[in-house]
Amino acid sequence: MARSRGHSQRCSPDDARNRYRHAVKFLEVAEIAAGEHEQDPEYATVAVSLAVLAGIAAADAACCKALGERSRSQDHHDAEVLLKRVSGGGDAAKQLHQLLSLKDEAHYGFFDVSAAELRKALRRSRAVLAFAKDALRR
Amino acid sequence: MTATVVGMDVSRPYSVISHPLDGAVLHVLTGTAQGMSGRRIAELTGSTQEGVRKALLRLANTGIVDQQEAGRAILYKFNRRHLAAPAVEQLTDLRRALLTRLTETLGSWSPPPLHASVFGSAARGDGTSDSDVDLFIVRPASVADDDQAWREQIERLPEDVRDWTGNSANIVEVPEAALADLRRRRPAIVDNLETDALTLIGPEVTALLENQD
Repeated sequence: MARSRGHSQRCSPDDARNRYRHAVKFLEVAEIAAGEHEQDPEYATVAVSLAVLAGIAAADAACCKALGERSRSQDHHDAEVLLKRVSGGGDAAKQLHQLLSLKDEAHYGFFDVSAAELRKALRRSRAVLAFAKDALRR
Repeated sequence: MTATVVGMDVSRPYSVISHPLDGAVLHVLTGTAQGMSGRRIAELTGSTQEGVRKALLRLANTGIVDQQEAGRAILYKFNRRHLAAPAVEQLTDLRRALLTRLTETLGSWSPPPLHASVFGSAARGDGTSDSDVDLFIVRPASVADDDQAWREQIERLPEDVRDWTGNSANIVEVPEAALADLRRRRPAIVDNLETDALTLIGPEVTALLENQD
């Protein structure tokens, strides 16, 4: 990746494809972990964390492709702002916002993730990935 | 520096996008919802700042690109209210239209492919008018090599691609049984697929080709 500028970092179409691949892998593992949560509820927390990582990677992919930059801010909500700048990115940015709102709680284990929250997180993550996949096709 | 809008040449409206660099600049600007600097547009198009500056001036003259002053910088934004905007968006979105049409066509196949993806320059978006459209298609184990319906589909696809784009299609057809060998030997095409491929049908190419040992 190229040099950083403020809270964003320059990136290329190659970086976009790399980040999309990361997103696919994060989601793949999130879905495996989600499949285990009935045996062990702690897997739900792990699955949500991975779904969030998938969403962030997918947002990076779309932003690298369309804008040539991705968020490097400590505050992941800045990634939403950047994603909104991608043409047609409003809905994906909303999905990412909802996903990130679960991040801290799930990541640090402040509360147990319910089955419904897990399903929502996976759905939102898939929606951001679908947007990134479409952005890579332009 | 703010250009005076001269306007679209109504007798030759296609002149809005007649210059190749103008097309590349419009491709970048239609992909963003906000203004972008000339410098960033030059980076994203892989063109010189001077060339892009001239293109932006031409496009601003037709009104298809708006200019906004932001401090000392000028930001450029695609004018979605321009009469030519829908046509420009359609033209700058042709790669996605091709991938959508390929997905729809492959999705209608009977028997269906186990997997299909586009790779190479068509996937990366860095080809030229001479570039082939490279396709990786996996024939399911249930379909024989000489299955007539399958063979007809495979043979018709390059004709379709040529009709849609004027480009040749290069089809790499692999039987499902050969995937294990590809995973093990990892010839150069596997790296190309893992790096560039955009999956059209079936599992993601990385999942299909990753080592399952």
